Amino acid sequence: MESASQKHRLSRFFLLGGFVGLTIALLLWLRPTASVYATKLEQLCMILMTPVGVVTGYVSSATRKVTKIFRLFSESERLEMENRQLKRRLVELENENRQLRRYMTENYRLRRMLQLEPKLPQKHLAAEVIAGSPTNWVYSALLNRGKEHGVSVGDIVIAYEGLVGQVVRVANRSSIALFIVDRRCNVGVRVKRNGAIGFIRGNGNGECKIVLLTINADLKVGDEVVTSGLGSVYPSGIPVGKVIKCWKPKANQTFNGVVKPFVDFSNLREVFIISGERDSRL
Amino acid sequence: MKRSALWIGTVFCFLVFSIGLLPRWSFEVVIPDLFIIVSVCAGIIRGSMFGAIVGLLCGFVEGSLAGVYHGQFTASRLTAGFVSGWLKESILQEHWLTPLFCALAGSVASQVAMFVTAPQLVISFADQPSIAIAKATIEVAYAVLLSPAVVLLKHAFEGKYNSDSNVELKHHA
Repeated sequence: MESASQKHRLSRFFLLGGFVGLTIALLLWLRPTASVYATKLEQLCMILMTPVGVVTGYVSSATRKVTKIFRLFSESERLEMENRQLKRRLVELENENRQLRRYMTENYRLRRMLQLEPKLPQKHLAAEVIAGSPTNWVYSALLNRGKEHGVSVGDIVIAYEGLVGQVVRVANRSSIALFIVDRRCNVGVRVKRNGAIGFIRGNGNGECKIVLLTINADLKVGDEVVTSGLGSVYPSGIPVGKVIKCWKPKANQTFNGVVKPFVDFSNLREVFIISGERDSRL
Repeated sequence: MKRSALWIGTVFCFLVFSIGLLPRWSFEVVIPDLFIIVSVCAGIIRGSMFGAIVGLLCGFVEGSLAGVYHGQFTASRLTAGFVSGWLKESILQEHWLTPLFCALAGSVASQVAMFVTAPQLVISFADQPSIAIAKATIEVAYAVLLSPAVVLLKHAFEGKYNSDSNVELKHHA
């Protein structure tokens, strides 16, 4: 009787040892710096997640539809007014767009006259967010585009509202994008109001910390921040967010602050991947 | 067969819920980590070995979805499942407060394992350690709140299922 229980204990000990060994192997084999391309096992997991993503898509779109119906009833008057305002705004923007197109043609002509390098064309690939990150320590999302669609590690991900992040891992038909609010993400930025250069870093709390590098520049609450294009990773001019808090640590130091991104990462569905050669001067 | 299908169905529902809907209902940008809760529940319901297996699988899926820290997530969730199961089997046994203590110990062990195996994560939070502590605390609180509820629900269902089958057996007799 005692030997049976001892045997049972021994087998449990070996089983647990096996699990721990497997975990250590995973720790070493799949460590973040090992490879930027997804391993076979990871690819399998990403493929398995695709049907889950499809179901998730249906569930979340159904939830959105139900919410919309409730909102229609409660906010019909406000929506009607908003619709009228938006129509007026659309006319204004159409005029502005026409003018900008004229400027673009002129700019292109002048650049050719000055024999400046032509800007590189950017490929915008539409992608859908299959799954969000289930953990609180990493802010990332699984996208339905991968190596087969021309996506590679380091490609930039943007949404209609602004910058989303960067592709960090690629499988054949899916990829993982790291959001700018993640603590491992650093982006070179410029303050739109005064052109001050700095960088932002995710603070792991849905916001980003901004540190200015320009010595005599100031930072104000409400300032808009765009990508600077320095460092050749992110193209310049992509909207990032708005400053919601700012301070100066010491009299002789530069301004620091907190930036709230324009993109709502919890409701992200459609994104664009800027792949291929990037031109930081854009 | 029925029980396995129930487990697979539950995990699938948890997965859909965790990656699709939970991010919309976060509290202070912290969502309940359902993978910890599943591992802890598996440990409490079926024992430390089963908890460790479920934790290992959950951790791997979580790491793959996050894109980084694969082994760290695996180690962390494995620890959660194993510790909660071991605590129930060896120390606490059957008591109405057991799920609560097991969930607390399991999720705390999971957070500790995560920080120990991922020093780069600790370093990245070095300038604002309060955020990391707050996140870990809220995650543990979610696990403590939800795990006992899931375990009690499971026991309630099992009780009903057993009583139904007993009635059927009596009828046959």
